[in-house]
Amino acid sequence: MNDLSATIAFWIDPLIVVIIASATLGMVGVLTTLRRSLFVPVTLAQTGALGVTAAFFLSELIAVELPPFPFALFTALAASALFAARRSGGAVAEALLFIVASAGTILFGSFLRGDIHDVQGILFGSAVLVSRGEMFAVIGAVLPTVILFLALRLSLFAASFDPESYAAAGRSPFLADLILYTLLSVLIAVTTRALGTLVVFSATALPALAALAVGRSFDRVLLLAALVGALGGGGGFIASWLFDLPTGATVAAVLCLFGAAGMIAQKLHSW
Amino acid sequence: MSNGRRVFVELHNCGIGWERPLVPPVTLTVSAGEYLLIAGPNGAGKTTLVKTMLGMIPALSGEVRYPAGRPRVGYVPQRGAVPEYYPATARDTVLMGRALLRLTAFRWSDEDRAAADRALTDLDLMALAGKPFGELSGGQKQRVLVARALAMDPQVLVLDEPTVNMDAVSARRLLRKLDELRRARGMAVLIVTHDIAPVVAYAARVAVLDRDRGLFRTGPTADVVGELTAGGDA
Repeated sequence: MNDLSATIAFWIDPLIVVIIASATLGMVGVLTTLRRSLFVPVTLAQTGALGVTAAFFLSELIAVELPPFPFALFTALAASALFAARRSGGAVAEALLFIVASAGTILFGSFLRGDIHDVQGILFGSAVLVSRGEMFAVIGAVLPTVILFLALRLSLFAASFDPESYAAAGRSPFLADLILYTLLSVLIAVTTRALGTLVVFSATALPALAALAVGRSFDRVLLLAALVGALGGGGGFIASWLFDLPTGATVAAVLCLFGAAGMIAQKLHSW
Repeated sequence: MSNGRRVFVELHNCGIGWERPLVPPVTLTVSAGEYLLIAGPNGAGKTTLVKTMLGMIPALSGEVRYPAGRPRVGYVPQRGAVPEYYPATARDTVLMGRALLRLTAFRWSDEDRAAADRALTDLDLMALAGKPFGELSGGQKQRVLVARALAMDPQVLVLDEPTVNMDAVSARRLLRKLDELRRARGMAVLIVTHDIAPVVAYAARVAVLDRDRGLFRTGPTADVVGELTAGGDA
């Protein structure tokens, strides 16, 4: 077992990022989970990855270094608009877009001559190599996104519950979906870089599933999902340092335990 | 104004449908305080008419006007059209009506809570306010959805097949309550249904449509129902 206190300088910044990101993604993930759009976050992450690879590809092509983040955000936002525009739920759009984005990422990547490890680090994150600058970037992007989400949550919840009544009241369910997926895209674009797709996907789905299994009101579910995300993300990260385990997989495994605990609690309650 | 009442919605020679008109051009007004029945068999185009009226789908031809500006519309979907697994009590669900009035709110205001409580009281739901929506009976859910629409303090209340799967006594009680609320609040009530029997006693006016027969008629309920019955169309 590793000595945590001796290495605090190495893990404190990544730990803060994991906790903030998992808590936020857990909270926002409640709405995507309620909408039965569980695969939207992973597809947004993958389309973001396509944007990153495209940025590297174009950089080599025109011999000018292009920043990958705007490309990742642009492709994720384009996917958000597509998800918002679809008339019904279902996973067809998510599946198709995931396949296209994955294939595109690999194809673009195959043309890259630069250091492939740099590209992979940006695409899939490392969860342990978060710099102080990245930590502040994550906090700077997450904070306004969370404030906006909290201000919009009641309207987004109402639109998600009953889009027909929302439209009859003169509001646009498309706009509500677009706002939700845009907020999610921003969060995913900034956190995937730091944490990787696996952690991002786990943090979006599992805390929400656990919280929805036991929570009875929307705001309590949001709070619970944020707590589970923070505890699962932070707990998983510390466990990975203590036992020298792969960080992303350990965080995902701990979040799975929370998800399973929520479902068991729900079953016991229904008896 | 029509008969001294404020006109909320005017349809003038409107073609309603998705690609081609379902029925002959529709001319219809909805005024404050009226109880309008929109009737016809299943698939007749009733919901399409209402959606056109509310601007949810465009008219194929003609004009939809809101002389006094777009009215506040409370919409009650068919029972079963909303999910039961959402984390919301009856009160939370009613409060959602307030969320339809504005895009942002960090928390419910005192005014929101008062409007929700008033709607819960009007529908005799106070005792069930803390119960999860998904655990209510079908009739209770229907009343909660009506209360949610009322919490918006609507100028036009639209109910889609509100008495489906309701026993006769419950259906009568709901329709009577809606009539009381219409009088008390001065709102227009539009009931969309294929089962006109329980509603004709309350609705002064009816619009009947049937896409299979290419039929659209509107007028006083007794006249139109009498005419269609005499013609064997009812």
